[in-house]
Amino acid sequence: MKNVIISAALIFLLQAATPYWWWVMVVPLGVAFATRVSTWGGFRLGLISAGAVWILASLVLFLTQSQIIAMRIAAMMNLGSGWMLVLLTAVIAMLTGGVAGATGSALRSSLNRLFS
Amino acid sequence: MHSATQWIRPILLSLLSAGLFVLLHFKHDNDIPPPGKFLNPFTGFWQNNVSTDVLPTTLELKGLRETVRILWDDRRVPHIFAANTHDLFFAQGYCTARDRLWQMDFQARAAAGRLSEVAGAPALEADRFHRRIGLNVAAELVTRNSLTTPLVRDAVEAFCGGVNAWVNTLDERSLPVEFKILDYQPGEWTPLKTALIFSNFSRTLSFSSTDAALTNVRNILGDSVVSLLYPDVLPFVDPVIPRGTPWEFVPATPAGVSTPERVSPGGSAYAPGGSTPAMEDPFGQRDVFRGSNNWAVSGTLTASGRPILCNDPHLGLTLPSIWYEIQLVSPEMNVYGVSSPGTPGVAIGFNKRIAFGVTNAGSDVLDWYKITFRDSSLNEYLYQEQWLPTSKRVEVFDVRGAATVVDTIVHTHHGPVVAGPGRRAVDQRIPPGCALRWTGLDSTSSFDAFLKINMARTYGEFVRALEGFNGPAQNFAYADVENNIAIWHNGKFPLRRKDQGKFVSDGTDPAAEWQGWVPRAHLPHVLNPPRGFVSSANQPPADSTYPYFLGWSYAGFERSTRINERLRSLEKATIEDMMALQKDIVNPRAVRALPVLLPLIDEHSLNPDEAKALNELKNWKSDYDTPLIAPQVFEYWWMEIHKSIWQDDLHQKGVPLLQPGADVTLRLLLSDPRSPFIDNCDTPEIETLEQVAQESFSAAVRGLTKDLGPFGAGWSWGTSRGTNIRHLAQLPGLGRSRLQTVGNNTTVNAITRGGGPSWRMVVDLDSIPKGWGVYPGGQSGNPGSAFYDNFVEGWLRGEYYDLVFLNTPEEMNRHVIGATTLMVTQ
Repeated sequence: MKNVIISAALIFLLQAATPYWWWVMVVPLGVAFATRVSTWGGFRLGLISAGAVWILASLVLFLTQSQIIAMRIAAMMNLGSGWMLVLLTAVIAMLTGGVAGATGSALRSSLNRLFS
Repeated sequence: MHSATQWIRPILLSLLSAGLFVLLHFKHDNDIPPPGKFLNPFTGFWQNNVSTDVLPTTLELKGLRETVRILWDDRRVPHIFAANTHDLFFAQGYCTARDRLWQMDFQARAAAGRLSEVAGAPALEADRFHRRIGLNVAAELVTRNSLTTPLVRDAVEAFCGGVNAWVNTLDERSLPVEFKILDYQPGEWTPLKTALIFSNFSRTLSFSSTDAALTNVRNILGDSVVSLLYPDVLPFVDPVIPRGTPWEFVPATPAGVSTPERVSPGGSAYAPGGSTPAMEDPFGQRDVFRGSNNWAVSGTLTASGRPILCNDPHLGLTLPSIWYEIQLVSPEMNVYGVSSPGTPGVAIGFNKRIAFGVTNAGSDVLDWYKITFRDSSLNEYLYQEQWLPTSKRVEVFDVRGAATVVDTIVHTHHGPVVAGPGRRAVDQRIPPGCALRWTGLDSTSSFDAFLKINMARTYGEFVRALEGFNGPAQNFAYADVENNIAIWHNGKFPLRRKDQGKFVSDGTDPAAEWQGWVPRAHLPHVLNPPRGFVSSANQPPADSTYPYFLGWSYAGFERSTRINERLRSLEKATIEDMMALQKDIVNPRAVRALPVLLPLIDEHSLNPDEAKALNELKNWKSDYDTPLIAPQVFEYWWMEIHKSIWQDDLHQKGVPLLQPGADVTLRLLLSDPRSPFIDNCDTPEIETLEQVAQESFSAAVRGLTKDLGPFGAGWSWGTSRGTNIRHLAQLPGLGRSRLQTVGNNTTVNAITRGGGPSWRMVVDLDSIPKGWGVYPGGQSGNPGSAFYDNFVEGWLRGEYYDLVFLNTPEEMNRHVIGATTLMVTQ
């Protein structure tokens, strides 16, 4: 859980400070690599931390300032409603974060075996 | 062995991660933004929200000379108060870019033929067309030669400075959402881009030609049919300049022979190389939607005793809107109105002393010259019995996601050969193997005129300003606080012989060329006519006594006669009367046609649906209101009548033929019911008008049933027609669709499926002018803003907003809701 919180906090800070979306991949990959979790553990770490940041951020925006734009973009993408966009945003973050976290874990695991 | 297998999992996962990154980071399809960037809540589309509506209180901007104060009213219109014109236009550029940057960029790109660089292959043909007609070259020439007077140069440069001041503040988060969708960045705004916006406007308003399709008609049916069906003097028309207005000048005479030249070589048809679906459209090309209205009423006819000026330019409707509302105040001017995003000044509006509005002139400023090339290399062409060398311009298209395309455009001294011999262009009206001569390609602009009109205080200053107006040609309506009203059919018009340029001209003959320009003082105009009003609705500018040939393909009589009838009936006109006239939905064609057509129907032979449809027409007042069924029945019936009369006479497979206008059809019905054109020459029988009316009525009801279902509410005008205000890039979801609207292209309130009054304005020339207006959109170009389309509902309901005209930045006004101070910074 601690790793998830660290990963989520790092994602949030780096996303707020820079324009790059791919922190949702890089941070879980790095945290999973550094903390020696299992591949499945790395996947969960990335899925939850990246997904949580993006779903919370998009949800807060959707419920406060971004309803109009979400409604229009949902129509543009044939998604039906802005809620589907929140879901899609979360799915993208969870998928990429999860795969990146698993990659970090697997890399660390292989390196460990190589040097053990 | 053990060490090799342990790497399989990380390698596969790394590849999957890399694949996901590539998939989500880059744009792979022209219709789908890169998902990772786009959905990122921190910088993606989620950030293009209502927070952009918060107005800044203070900004420090590099490039300003003194402090500028901007007041914002409750419709988010900026009222800019500057101490000098440089700062005024700098602030205009800043405000316009803040609200409309992507629109400006997109329109400049479109004109430059560079959309495919960001939109990929689907935009290539449009790009190729714009470069082939030379919009990019024209804009370069305008930038070099026409943005040179101190007034214009300073205004344009200051405007660009303001735009760039905004562009420089943008980051990934604040980038307008369309840049995110299309995944590209805005570049620096330059005078060339402002010139491109102007060139694009010229194309929209004056790139119109029926020359090739009419030449084909002449080759097939002969001169007598052409003069009968495509007359220079259109039927029923009440011209812009009242009949009987004296022409107080000695006309200039064009050189050369006095009769129109017969130029089309060997009777060959001007047909595009491929199929020609657009030109086989059976409905008259002359009736393609175009239209705007303006009028000015003298104080002698108004309840207040003051003049009133009205204008509603009808254009294709888009979001973001074609217009941006603004007030510009400096020691030299105080003008309110709508501007074209990307250009300085106000195009339609009013100041403390005068009001001005425009409609498209419709006069012919574009001719095609048939070029005789020496051989297929297109290196030489015949002119005055000599072979002259062509020049060739190579255009390179860096198409996104596809190979670079190179296009070579052949130029003659007439102009570019837009479609090579045997080739077809995107625009079906373009004849292959012909060179284009168009005023839109001249290195002149009209910025100088608009800026001077914005500053004008008297009729004399207004007329002097018009001298700098080169096009696209417009009817300028004018009113001032001295109770003057006037109208000018104004622009740069070629000096021609009668009917010169009505057909494709002979590119080998010097006598077929333009013979100079119609002198400005000779242009159709009138000041304070006895009837007490001036008006225009794209109809012919003058009656047959006017000594110059300016064109023939003008709008029909409908809107202009209706406006003039209503204005003639006024005695104590009020603002409400003017607004009601702008929203008038009576079709004068139906008013004239139905009394003749309805008695021709044998009611005993009708089936139940036909009887019900006929009953709707009998009880109809020719108005196009949303709940009514009759308008759609009339539209279908008229379409069938038109087809029935002309399709047999004017149909040749693969050859574009111009169809006669609806006014010519109406004249036939009213004045010549036994015309041989009534008969269907494809059948052995001789058809009568009674048969045509009856059979076309049945066909109309069959068509309605097929398209709209059985007789009922589905046939009502509002439900069955619908108006779309599409997004400028036609991105789904960012426009408005299927709006229930009144009117059609023949009513004063000329709303169609995709066009309509892009700005309705009424101005009372009081000591402090009062204005009312509305346009179908909103001030913000951000689809996530509350001000993106907030005027649409009011526009639909026919409401007007108070136009807040301020005198000082300190003025207390209940509509003012915020202020921004622009400070100088080094």
